[in-house]
Amino acid sequence: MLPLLVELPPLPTLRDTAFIMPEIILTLFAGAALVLDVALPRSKKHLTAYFSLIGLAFVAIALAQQVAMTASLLPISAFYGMLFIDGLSVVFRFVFIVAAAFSILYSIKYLEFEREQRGEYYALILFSTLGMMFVATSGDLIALFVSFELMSLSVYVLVGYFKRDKRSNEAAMKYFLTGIFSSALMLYGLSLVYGVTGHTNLGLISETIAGYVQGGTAESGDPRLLLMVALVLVAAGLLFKIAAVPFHMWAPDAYEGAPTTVTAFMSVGPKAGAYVLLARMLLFALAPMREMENLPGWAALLAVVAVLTMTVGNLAAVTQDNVKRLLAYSSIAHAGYILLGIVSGTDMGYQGVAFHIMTYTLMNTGVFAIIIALHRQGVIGENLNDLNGLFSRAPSAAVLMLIFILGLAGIPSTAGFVGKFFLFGSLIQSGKPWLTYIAIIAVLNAVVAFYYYARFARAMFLNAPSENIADASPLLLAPSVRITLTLSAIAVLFFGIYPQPLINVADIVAQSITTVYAQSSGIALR
Amino acid sequence: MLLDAGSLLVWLVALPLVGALALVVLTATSMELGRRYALTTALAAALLTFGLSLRLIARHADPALVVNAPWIPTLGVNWHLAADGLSLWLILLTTLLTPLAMLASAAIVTRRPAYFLLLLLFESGLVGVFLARDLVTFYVFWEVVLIPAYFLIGMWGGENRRAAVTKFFLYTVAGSLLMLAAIIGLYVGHGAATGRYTFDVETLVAARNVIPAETRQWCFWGFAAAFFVKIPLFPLHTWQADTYAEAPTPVAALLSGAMSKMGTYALVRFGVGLFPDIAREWATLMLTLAVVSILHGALAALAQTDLKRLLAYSSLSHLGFVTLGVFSFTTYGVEGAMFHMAAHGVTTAALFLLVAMLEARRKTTALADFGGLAGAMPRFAFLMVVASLASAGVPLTNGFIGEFLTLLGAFTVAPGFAVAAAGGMILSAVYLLTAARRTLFGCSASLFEAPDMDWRETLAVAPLVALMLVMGVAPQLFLRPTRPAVPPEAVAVSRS
Amino acid sequence: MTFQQLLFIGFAALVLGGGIAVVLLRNPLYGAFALITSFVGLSALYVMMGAQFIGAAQIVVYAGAIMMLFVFVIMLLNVRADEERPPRHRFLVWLAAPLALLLSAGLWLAVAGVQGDRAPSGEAGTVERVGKNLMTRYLLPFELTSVLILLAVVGALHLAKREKE
Repeated sequence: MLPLLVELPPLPTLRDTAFIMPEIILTLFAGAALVLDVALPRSKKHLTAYFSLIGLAFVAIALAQQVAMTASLLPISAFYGMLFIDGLSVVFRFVFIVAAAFSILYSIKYLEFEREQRGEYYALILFSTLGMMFVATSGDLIALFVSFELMSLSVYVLVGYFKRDKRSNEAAMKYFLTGIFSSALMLYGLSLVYGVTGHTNLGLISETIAGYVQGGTAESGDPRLLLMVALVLVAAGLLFKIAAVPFHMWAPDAYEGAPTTVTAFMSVGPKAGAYVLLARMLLFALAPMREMENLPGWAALLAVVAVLTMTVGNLAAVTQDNVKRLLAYSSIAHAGYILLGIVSGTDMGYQGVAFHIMTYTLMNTGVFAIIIALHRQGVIGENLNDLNGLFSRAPSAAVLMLIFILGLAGIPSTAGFVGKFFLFGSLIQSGKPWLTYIAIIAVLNAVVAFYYYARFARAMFLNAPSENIADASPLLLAPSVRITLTLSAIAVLFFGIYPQPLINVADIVAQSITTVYAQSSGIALR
Repeated sequence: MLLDAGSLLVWLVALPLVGALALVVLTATSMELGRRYALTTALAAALLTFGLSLRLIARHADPALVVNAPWIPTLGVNWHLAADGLSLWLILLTTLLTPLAMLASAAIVTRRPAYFLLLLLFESGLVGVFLARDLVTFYVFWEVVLIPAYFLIGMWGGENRRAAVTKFFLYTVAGSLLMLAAIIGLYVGHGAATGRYTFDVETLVAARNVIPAETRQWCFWGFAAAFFVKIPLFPLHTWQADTYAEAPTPVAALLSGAMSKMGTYALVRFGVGLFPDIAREWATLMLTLAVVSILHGALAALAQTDLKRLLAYSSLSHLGFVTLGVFSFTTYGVEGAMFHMAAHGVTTAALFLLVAMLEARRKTTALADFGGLAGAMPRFAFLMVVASLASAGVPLTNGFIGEFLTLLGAFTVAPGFAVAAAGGMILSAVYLLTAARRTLFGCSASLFEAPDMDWRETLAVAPLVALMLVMGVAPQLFLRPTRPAVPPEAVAVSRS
Repeated sequence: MTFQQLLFIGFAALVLGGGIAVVLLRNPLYGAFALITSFVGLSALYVMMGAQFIGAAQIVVYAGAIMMLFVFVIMLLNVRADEERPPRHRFLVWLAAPLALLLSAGLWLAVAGVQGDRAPSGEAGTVERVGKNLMTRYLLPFELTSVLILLAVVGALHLAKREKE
């Protein structure tokens, strides 16, 4: 018999509410964006975007204030353990806000051009961001799952946002069907976790499982097998979201079919959200199952997935000519690299994961922003050939794109290099021979990746402009976009040359993973 | 603080960078101003290096010429630069060749500001490589060199530049990523053994015995892969001829004159410095590869019909001598190798720059298109002959000293290899003098009228030719500062 | 075997049979009815575990409201039985069946490892208990769910709205 919830706890207090202030503000703005859309005339609809950006600024301020006031109290648990705020939640909520703000900023002109300027679009992005922020702050399976669905559901709609575009419809349908299927798998896995442990609180789950794994199983059989099944189901659902092999099939189609701005958003925001959920499940709740006696732990399973993911992603990217598909495969490959950091299980690996996700957000949105800008001019589509001679047509756009591409490729003196350095280095640092071999596979993968990233440089700088470009007018970026892109590019270079500040931020994440796990009751009920 | 000895080194790396940044701003106003500005920056860097080297030559080793500051403390990465006799001639070479290559770049007409900007970036990266004493610092510069090289070849190169540059890029990147794995391997091996995680070369050299032998074995091969691609050494040389031939000729001068020295320099400082025992273990294999490179390069050069390809293969052959000297593990061999690096840089760069002038006049570098130039261009002919003789290793030129010393070193330990390599020296005389004869003398004098070199072109090559003779006549001047810096690990058989 | 176990087996069979029927039946209307059957069985299982409220909600919300909508949509759109498609991926059936068996066997083995009575006691599922829990312990996910529903409505509206132009 499990203990009953005999005496009911009192209602959550104002103290609890104070901890979700940023999220409350975000919800208000998202709702207000919907209303504002109705109130605005057709020609003024783009104001919703600026309204949403202002909203995100407020959220960031509220979050900063929360950090300033509670930094010494972390980790905090509120709402009966439903809410759990640690360093990881703080850092990643900022990442989500930045990802959402960039996506909104890059969308304004694009939607104008496509004549799809509507308030729902921005509201959906805000709602999705809300979901991500709660993913980062949930300490309980139920809250985690609901916020995760909040995040995903918005993206399903966003992918199919262009109703008249057949590709967009098809992509949305594929993404939706496979997405809910994977959610169902994950939910089944979560229910098994609850069934075995009797808890939905991540900390309590972790404690209970630690007891089972250490062999306290005599009176109740061996629940580890059932936990393994649960683990595989949960992992399958999550790996689907980050498009890890063999659950990656949807990604190229969804990336290609979705409106490019949505592709940009989903490649950084919800993806980072899925990484956070993966970290919460594997590094907090199921942490004791990393390695088990007589049974494969998740470290081994995840290592296989990581190797497959980066290899398949990189090899498939080589043959792509569509930029969006190519970037889809590149993001699959990057998912593989990031999984390596989780597999390594060292401080360095976790730092690498956080660092890489942060810089990847900058670089990937940057690349997409330029593709979006190209499209907006009606000059250039989504084919790699369309980038031909970009340098002579739009030098600043080409140079910015080059910096982001070099970052994605991981060339030294860009932030992408530092991330990869940490991720690959952590494998070798772990001191396990089999992880060292994986590091070598990863390095070889990076060579393959250099090849297809070099194709961008080649198209933009070495090839002559294509003949079939009708409009030869110079390509102009909107001032706000230009400034944002320049700042991102400078950040990519700056954190490549002097990464210490960002490493310190990444270290907050790493510390919250290692210390909270060390005293796993940290997430327990208040 | 801003002007102490250590910060001089930082300035040396930063000056071209700052210049490049300013170039971006300047070119918005005037194209021509940008070019002059770039040249001024490069000359300033050359002067700075010259001053630095005077200081270094006077004192043999200057402990003050070091800058060592924390860079990424989390990982124990330091921003560690230092100059000694090993780096000295190579940074001088780099900073000397860059302005000369700029002078000889009159044929570059499209997107000139970008071209000069990339040249400055290239220079900065190269100087960084030759100064870095921390493995991560070193690796970063090593890779940074690649990016401007990629664009310089890819944007201003010849017909097949895209294929050539892709090959070059992939070869180099594959090598250097293996080196990165090896760097991390060393770092972890050292950290696990001593508890101190550092990338500092001096620490790693001093504590090399604590790292497990197996780790060191594969780390050595990781480093070796990167260096052998860059030098290049047979059988990793197949990118070289295409790349040199497709590169704009002044850039080819820099590639063969300065960039290839990254590999040989790093081989001495890091390859042999960090793994002397393993390097010695494999010395026979390495000597074989060096001799194969020498002979293969020379024979292939004989068969070339294009001047740039010929020089590319000659480069392969001559750098084989450097590898030969290094792996002889004798004082003569290693000193000769160090000397030959500088000598080859000067000579091959001069030859490429001369070819650039021909190319500017006739838009071709095929041997068959030239002949009887001596009549029309006497000044050119004189410089070309001297440079060819120096490259062929005729006594009283720098090529002779370098090749003689490396052969001497190799002869004391492996006479067979030395004899075979000497064959390469003879072949080099054959193909270089044949090339000189076919371009300068011979029949078609009347067919070919061209203006002789103007003052700017003369200025680009004359200093190099003068250097060849000075180095050939007074080698002690150059050998002496290098001697104390040769790592003791690299010398098993010292001068008796 | 007790009476309760017999009941359980009966309802479980209803749930599974309904589910299998949904997959196999080609007529969507029959499929919807099979789904209702499955839901009814499920709610009975909930009641047996003492979760009366969930059981009732299952009937009212899913079997009642949502399935009514399904049936309406199916009838309005006049969806006919699936046409026989060319058997493009027939071989997958032969792959899927053994895999499904393997999975079931694995699950059986895994569940066998867990012993002991893990069901919560009878009081947890009363309306009062559920209500109080929703207002206290589960307040945050509860509110989040309401946002989720709002979002779903917005999304559905956007996708279904007819273009004016």
